[in-house]
Amino acid sequence: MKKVELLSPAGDLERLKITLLYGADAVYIGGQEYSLRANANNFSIEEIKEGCQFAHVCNKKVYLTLNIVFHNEDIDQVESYIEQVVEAGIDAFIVSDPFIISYIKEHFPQVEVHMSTQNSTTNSKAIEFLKQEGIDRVVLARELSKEQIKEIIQKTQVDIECFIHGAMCTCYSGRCALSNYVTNRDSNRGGCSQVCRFAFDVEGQKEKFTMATKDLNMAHYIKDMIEIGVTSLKVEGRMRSLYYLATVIGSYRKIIDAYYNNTLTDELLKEQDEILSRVANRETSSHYFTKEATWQDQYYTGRQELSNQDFLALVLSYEEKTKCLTMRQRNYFQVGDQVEIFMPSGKVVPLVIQELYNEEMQPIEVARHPEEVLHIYCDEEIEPNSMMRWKGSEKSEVL
Amino acid sequence: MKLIVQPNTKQYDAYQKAGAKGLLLGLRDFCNDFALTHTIDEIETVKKNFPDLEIFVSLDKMIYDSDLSLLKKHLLALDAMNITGILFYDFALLKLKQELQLKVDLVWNQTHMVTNYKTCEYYYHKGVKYAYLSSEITLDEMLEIKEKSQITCMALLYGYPVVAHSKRKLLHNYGTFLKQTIPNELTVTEPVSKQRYKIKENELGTTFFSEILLNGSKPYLEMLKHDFPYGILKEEGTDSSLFLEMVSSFVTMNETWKTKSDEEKQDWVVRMSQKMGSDHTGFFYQKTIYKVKKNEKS
Repeated sequence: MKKVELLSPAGDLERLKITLLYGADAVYIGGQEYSLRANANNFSIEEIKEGCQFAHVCNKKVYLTLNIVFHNEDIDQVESYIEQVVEAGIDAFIVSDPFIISYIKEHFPQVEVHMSTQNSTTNSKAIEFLKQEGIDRVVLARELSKEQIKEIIQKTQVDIECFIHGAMCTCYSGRCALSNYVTNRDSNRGGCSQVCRFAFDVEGQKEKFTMATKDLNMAHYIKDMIEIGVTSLKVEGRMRSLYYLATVIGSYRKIIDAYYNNTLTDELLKEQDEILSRVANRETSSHYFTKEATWQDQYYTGRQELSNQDFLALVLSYEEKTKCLTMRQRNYFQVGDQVEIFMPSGKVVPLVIQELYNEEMQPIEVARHPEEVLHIYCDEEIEPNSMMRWKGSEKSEVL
Repeated sequence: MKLIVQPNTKQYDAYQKAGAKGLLLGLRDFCNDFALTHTIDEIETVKKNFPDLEIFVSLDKMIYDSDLSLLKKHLLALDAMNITGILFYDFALLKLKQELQLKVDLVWNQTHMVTNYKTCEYYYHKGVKYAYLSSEITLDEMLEIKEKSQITCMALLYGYPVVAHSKRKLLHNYGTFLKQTIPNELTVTEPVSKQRYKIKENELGTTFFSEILLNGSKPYLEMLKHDFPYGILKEEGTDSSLFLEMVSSFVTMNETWKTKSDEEKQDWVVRMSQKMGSDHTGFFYQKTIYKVKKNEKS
């Protein structure tokens, strides 16, 4: 049985490396052109090259989003851009405009082409057509149920990718121009202003009309998705933070590995669900997977987002001889706090902050300056790129 | 230019008398964006009774595997009627056209995604004869597509454009939250821009329409100069008698524009705007932005 792929977003080179270290099998990134997140940092050709080299050394893959809906003015340079990013080493393109499929397959047959969820593919006949055109994988619409996904896989035998975690569009992807009309920002070319999270006035009603959705969380259905034959499990969020990605990818890595090792238990799922909830900034739901989405999968009052201060520090290095841990501060903590360090390998080390030192090794009581370099002592060896967070969730979320 | 009416009533005779060259009908249960939909039998009757009108049928719903069996049946029935074209959103239609060896022409109608000549050309080579261009591109982009692609272009000239479509029952859900019965049609206002949107819900989901009437009379004159092939006049949401008057006016200009002076044409645009009560030209002259500078973020 081929192991399911865990696919992570990465908004920049640092996040690409971290998410691969924390267990993603592949990452999807946006270049500086033709990507649906025009406001993300996005990768230059040189960064794509470095990212691909890093991924390939780890025996992992990099996919590039080329999924804008093209306007005439976007077309002239696209072929030379494709050539450049293929040379940089990418393994697959994620596209939504079908004219590109045959161009890539004809000129760069070694590179895969995946149909983006922007096309909202919902049936097997559409996939049969895309298969004829040379598509290697289809990212299905997020509106499908388990039974519908299963039927499509059985009928088409095409690699299928499904979203498992992150923000959801209210409308079918590609079938929404609310951003164009309300803010003049082109939703299908990376300018989406998320109008579906706005609140609208209704004449005669005190309560505003809202349609914002809760986020997707499929942690409890990974087993089902693997067993119906999904090829790739995709996490949403190229704009998400380093800490979010490390946590989410780390959790899904544990769930997937536990499934294949026959160690997946309700207890492990509960534990991972708790960890996932600590980085969530909205409530979550499985939306369409087991039932039609209902009123309970949406929000009805204003903004419901929480900021998150769970991430305390990023580990830079550990000196085995002195047991000194060097890290970069991200959020407030102090001597006496109970914290834990989670590592790329999945290991978690609990500890109480007994002493705390600044960059000059002067003792301090409180870490209050983001980006400040700090030192603590820790008996257990800590891997580089580990992250420190609160132990338990008592201090993790503030409004 | 051939002017096609997307009707909201069944007064087909009146549309024909007003000079429309065809009708764009939505197939019942397979169409999101039409208030008035038609069964296969009704379409057949219209085709029989109005043999001189070009009949286009829209199947713009998201297709699921459970729809495929009935969809095939409908496609075969439409193929046998000798209609002019079927508007499709889903790739499944392209596959089914091959499998069922349908003779009927297809119209690429992916609402907001029909935006460039290269993809139009791609579809043309896949046997798609027509493309209904997105209402979110500019007139210049439309004319460039017309020039650079062999596909036959259509564009909305008059009516309330479709803005978005969701599978979710957004009005029902809102009503459930409020513990109130909310009608399946609601107008909402975005408080910053003050723009109004009509939201309609049916068994296929929820569809958003702009509440600002698109007035394409000015770009229409430019399109006539460039021999743009098809214009769509959409009745839904407009007064029926005013709509017929609009159809007549567009048709008359179509027949006489070569003899009119620039001043007369300009007067016509002004009169059309007054009659419609709208001078809103949508995206015909307004380019959308997508690489947003920091100070432009909302």
